[in-house]
Amino acid sequence: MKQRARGVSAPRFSKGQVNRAGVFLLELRERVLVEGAQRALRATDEAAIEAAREALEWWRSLHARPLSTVAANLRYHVLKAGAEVEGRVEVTQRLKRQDTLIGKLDRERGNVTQMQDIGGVRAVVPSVPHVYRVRRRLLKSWTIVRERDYVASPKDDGYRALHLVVRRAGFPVEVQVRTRGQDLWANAIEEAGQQTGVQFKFGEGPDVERAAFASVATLIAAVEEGELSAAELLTAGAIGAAIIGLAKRLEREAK
Amino acid sequence: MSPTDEIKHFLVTRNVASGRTTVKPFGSDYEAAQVAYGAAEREAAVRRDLDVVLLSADSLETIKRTHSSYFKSNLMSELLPA
Repeated sequence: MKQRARGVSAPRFSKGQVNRAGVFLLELRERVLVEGAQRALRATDEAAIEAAREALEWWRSLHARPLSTVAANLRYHVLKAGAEVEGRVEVTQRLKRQDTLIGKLDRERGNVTQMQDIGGVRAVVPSVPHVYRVRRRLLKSWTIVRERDYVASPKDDGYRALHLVVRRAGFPVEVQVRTRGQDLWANAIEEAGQQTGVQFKFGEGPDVERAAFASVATLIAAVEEGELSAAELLTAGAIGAAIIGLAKRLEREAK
Repeated sequence: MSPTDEIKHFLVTRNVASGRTTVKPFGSDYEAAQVAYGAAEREAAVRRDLDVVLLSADSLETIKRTHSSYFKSNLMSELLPA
């Protein structure tokens, strides 16, 4: 109840203020990209930046309690569905980073107060049948406001997961359910983005690399669904590595 | 275990340049964790090499598994030719 005492019951900002704060920080982000952080920040009223950040933080904080409730429910259902991984209920909740929130505004041109994934919770489960076993339980006990099944229909880049949006206390929470392999793949994409600065998960990057990521996602799915053995995958990987090595040698020799 | 209690909050900061990750635990105090999150985001806004996120689970082990990109070098980047 600490949060309530801090003033959640008496709104500190209107939705309009929160949305305008989002637009303000998006414009600031664009200036940072053009002029560099130092110049853009010097040229902008510090108090206005702080006020905008506070509005977004406040809006985000309203999602914390609904998020925790949904995460606790999800833990229960993962356990009841027998979907632990090596005996562990793998459920993690996260409050969206402000800069990814602003980045999403940039890509999708929506309003902050309409975003459905400020509170997000992820469950990692052993297999595709477990994904659907958990889904069946959630559909029985929750009212789902949106469902996107990227397990049945993967994204072009190879991304696979089940996404559901549920509402708690008036706030949306996005639920992602993934297999171990789907999760490893998605984290690899995320990490490749962090290391290279190329946002593969938002469709950036050279075609060759994106095609490679998509192929790997297909191979991982084939292994998880028993269509390909791990040994066959390792052989395929070794062949791939040999081909890359050969290609690099040919490239060097051609110079 | 009971799935409904004992959730702990962790502020995870990855230095993208060095690949190092630091974790600040907040126990069950979500509010304090969120205040620290906001402060860390302000720092990250001027230092582009920091990725910061607030994650919560029954243990840090779970977070390391579900959000492995923050913690270790992954297989995929090694699969791709440099």
